[in-house]
Amino acid sequence: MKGTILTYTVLNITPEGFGEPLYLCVVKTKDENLLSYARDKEMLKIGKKVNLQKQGDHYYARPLKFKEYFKKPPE
Amino acid sequence: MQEVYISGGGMTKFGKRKETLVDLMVESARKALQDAGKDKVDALYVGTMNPEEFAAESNIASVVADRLGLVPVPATRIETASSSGAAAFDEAIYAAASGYFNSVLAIAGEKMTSVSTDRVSKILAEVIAPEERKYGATMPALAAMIIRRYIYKYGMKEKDFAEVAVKNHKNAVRSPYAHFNKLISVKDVLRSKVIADPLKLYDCSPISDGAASMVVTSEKSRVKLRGLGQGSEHVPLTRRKKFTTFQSTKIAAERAYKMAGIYPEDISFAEIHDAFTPFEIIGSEDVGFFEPGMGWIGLKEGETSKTGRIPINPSGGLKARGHPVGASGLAQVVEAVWQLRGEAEDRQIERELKYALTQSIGGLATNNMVIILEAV
Repeated sequence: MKGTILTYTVLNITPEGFGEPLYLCVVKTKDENLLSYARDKEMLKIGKKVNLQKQGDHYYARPLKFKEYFKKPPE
Repeated sequence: MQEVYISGGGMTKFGKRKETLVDLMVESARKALQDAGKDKVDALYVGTMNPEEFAAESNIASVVADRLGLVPVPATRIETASSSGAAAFDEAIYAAASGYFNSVLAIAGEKMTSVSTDRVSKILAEVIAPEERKYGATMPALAAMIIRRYIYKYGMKEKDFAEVAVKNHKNAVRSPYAHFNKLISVKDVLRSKVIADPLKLYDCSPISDGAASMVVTSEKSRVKLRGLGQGSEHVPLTRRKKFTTFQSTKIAAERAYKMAGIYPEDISFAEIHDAFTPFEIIGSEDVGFFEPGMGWIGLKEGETSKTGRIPINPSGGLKARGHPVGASGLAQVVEAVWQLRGEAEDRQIERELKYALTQSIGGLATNNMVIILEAV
């Protein structure tokens, strides 16, 4: 699922059971906004187009492949 | 609805306190009753967010009523997360305005320093939607994402919103009630530990203990209730239409202004919820003091300082007075009443004050209140 980063943070003080830092972002997809993890700080930029992959209960924002990057993501 | 007046206010010092939550609530309530010249009321409403987990206390309304010697009056606990204090005040107003009760005591407090900082963070995070909490999202994390979007949209910089903390610490520097009596600089804020980028430690209110109380009555006094409003919002951040404004504040403010029959430009000063300091900026826009995206410019130009066009948080706000979560919404009202009566000591705004506005945020702005008072 493709989407666009609306906002993000790098969380340095994390709750018990979570490693630090945590890279979190809100991604706008065609149907809804979703909270997602990102791989690293380089991924985090408002307006960046990403691919959302679900692993277990969580979404992960991944960089789009070169060709995909130039396709317009859903508004 | 009949007219309601504020006849007495009381507050403990905020900070790390040895006393129990009930002790703090009783201390503030006795001060409020003394200020009002009363030893009895017809009912009491107790606002507190989570005394069970923070302080291992429950059935708190009954316990406080008993300690105050007020049994058998009705005693009710009110909870709307971090706006519980304002909610207790609202309930007291509704009760007095209905005519069912004549004099009502609103009490609010929280005792947070008995547990570790990690534990406090975990308890506070329980107000977050489970689908966002499972990512490790905390209150600072979600607040940071709101601020990041505001920065993107309006061009504010971190040094700009650092001015909120600097201003509010300056306002509280001689306050006997404040957690912090310490001046800080923009450099101090920017150099403090990054909690959730772009929020740093000095952009966040502290973990505090404290309580505040207020007597409301149908009997005439020097401060009158003019308006109040409440609004709610989706709990998950991801379900909101806008990130750079709080619908819950806007709805609450519209209702309060409509009830009061006045406009934002009529307000003399305000106490705005600054648990995270950029929220003061968003709040100042949501209640109509500034256009969207202009609040940080107003701050920068000194409009919200004690001598500015619309002073905000002359008490020091949650940032410097401290933020015992359940207490803050009522502490704002107590400070507003003291200002309107000219009794705010070193915190007093040195000009004629007519209308005061307070704005309190519950959770991540999911249950917000706006209150308007008038000096009569």
